Amino acid sequence: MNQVLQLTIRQRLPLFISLSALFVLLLEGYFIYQYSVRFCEHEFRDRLQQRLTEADSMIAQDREHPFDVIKGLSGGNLPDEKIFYGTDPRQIILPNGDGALSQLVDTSQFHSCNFCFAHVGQRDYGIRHDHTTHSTLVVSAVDRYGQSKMKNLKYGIILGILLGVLLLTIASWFWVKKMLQPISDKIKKAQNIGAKSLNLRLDVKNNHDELGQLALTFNEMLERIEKGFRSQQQFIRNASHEMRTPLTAITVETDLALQQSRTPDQYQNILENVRLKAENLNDLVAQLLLMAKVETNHQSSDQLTTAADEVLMSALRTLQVKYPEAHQHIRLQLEAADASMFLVRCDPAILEAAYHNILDNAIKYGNKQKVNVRLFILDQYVSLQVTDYGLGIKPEELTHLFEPFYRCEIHSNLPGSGIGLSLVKSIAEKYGGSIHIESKITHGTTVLFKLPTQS
Amino acid sequence: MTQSKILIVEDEPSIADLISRALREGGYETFIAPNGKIGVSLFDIIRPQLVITDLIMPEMDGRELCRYIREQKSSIPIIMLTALSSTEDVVQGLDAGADDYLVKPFRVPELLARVRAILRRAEQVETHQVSTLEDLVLNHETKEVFRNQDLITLTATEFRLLEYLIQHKGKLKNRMEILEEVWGLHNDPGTNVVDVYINYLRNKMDKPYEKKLLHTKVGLGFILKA
Repeated sequence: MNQVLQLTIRQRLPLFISLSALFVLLLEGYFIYQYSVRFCEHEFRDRLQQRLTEADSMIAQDREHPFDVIKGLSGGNLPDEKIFYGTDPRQIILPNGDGALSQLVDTSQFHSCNFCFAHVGQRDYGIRHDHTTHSTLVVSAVDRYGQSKMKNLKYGIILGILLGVLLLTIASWFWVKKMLQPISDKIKKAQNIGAKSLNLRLDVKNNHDELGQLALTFNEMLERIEKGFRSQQQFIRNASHEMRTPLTAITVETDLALQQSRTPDQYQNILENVRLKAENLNDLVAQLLLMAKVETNHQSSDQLTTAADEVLMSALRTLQVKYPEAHQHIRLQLEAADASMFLVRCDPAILEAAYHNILDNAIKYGNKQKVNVRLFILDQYVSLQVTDYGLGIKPEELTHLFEPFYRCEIHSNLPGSGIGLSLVKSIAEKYGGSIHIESKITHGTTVLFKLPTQS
Repeated sequence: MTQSKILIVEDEPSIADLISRALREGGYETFIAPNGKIGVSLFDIIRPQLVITDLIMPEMDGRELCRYIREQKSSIPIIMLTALSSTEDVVQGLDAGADDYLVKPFRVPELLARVRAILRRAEQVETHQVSTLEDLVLNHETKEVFRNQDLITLTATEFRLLEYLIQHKGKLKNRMEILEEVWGLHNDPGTNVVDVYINYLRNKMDKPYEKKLLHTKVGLGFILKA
């Protein structure tokens, strides 16, 4: 396929150049030829006119015997020259019976000019009409020299064009081949770059021409892909690790339980643990699935009109099941003049995940202190502000919070995967909002999550 | 009181069995249909009080089942089970006539709570589809509210709040009760949600009219009465 494409471009370019050249040369040749013909004709007419003037002045010297004068002149210096003198005021009939001229020479048309010229067949005619005597003098001759010159010129031009086009075709064929060679090389090189060899790069010989810039751009793209690919691999490694932790716990827990029979209390305890781990696993998978969904662009559900306050309530209901006692500490405040101000344009499930993660963090790391939750309107943004008075985050760790799987040092003994806040940030970005976190160690954390209102 | 009959339509036998066991332990009578077609036949025979259906099933999916049930002019509540990350499906399911949805995997207490709530609501609605108080008319079916024959546009939450109050018209309801019943949240002394929404509701259906129906008893709660 590639070979065919290469050949086509190699043929197409010389063909295009040759055709263009052929067209230009033909046009030029035509104009040169036409100009030369005109020039030649003009030159011959000058000679005819000269001859007419000569004959006319001789007739004027001997007006009594004009035919004798003409006889004396005939066989003169022009090729195949014939001279005719007539006194018929209206028409001339040539002695050699050339009928074509007899139509031509209607003397009335000569009233305005002294000399007239005509070209019939191979022969040129010069005509001089005397208004006073009503006599007409005609000199005709064949421009043999001029005609053969024009014939030679025609062949010369045609040969020149053909030769020129041929040379140009050959030259452009070599030239295009040489031009395209680096592209072919780059294609071969690029074909070798795959998922396993993303570190390979194209050679850049000259970074000023288009090909060099193409190679540079291509290399920059490879750089980005490689980076993205590495972070994906890292993400999968982290995700697998996070999934394996609860799975291992479940397997070991059940293995231990099955080793010997146990009291109902012990079974209850074990099952409780297994359920907790299964829930962790479920949370993680749910977050990862949501992550994938958030990264997918243009879904119809992204255009849904969603009431942020209802989504917040729904998130609180879910957390109420997860943390039955912690729920007592939540202080919820809605602040808007009208319920319609809480409307945002987004997927409700995705928004709920964002709210859920923010609230879940506040409860989890809130050290069983109260949690203030405010949903309010700030500069056309539906803003969720969640403040806890718990463990807080170190300033140097704040910048890493949105990296997937990042866990703060002091939180590492609490359950969590580190995926939650990176998901929240992706969600904020997806819907044109933002997230901002302020924290003071041992004093607590404030999260502000904003999405634009629908209006 | 007779046990409520619940029809479970689910193509995954292990999940169907688990839901069935959970509901039986919760005191309900359950029937299992492995697909929508059998679900339809069973529905016609046993006339359940509630249908729990999976969304994606072979042959006849949850949406079609919903549509079939609604075409029977039946207002029997339907809970749709869905996998995560299929909000479009949820929306379509609700459009097809489902009353509520539950995302898989779910916790048993959550399932039971939803079933209880939805059955209780259905019971209340079943008796009268239209509630009235003076010139206030609330249609539980079409979710429309009229005051003095003007159509009043309410949000979903505002409607649920008014529905709750009109079902308990003439009775004083405190913030805790309202929060629990309308929002499903309990024990949140610090929230202003109820007051905020009472205010939204009052602005729409009470303020523009001469006769006031929604009253605040300071320190006690709210009452809807003539």
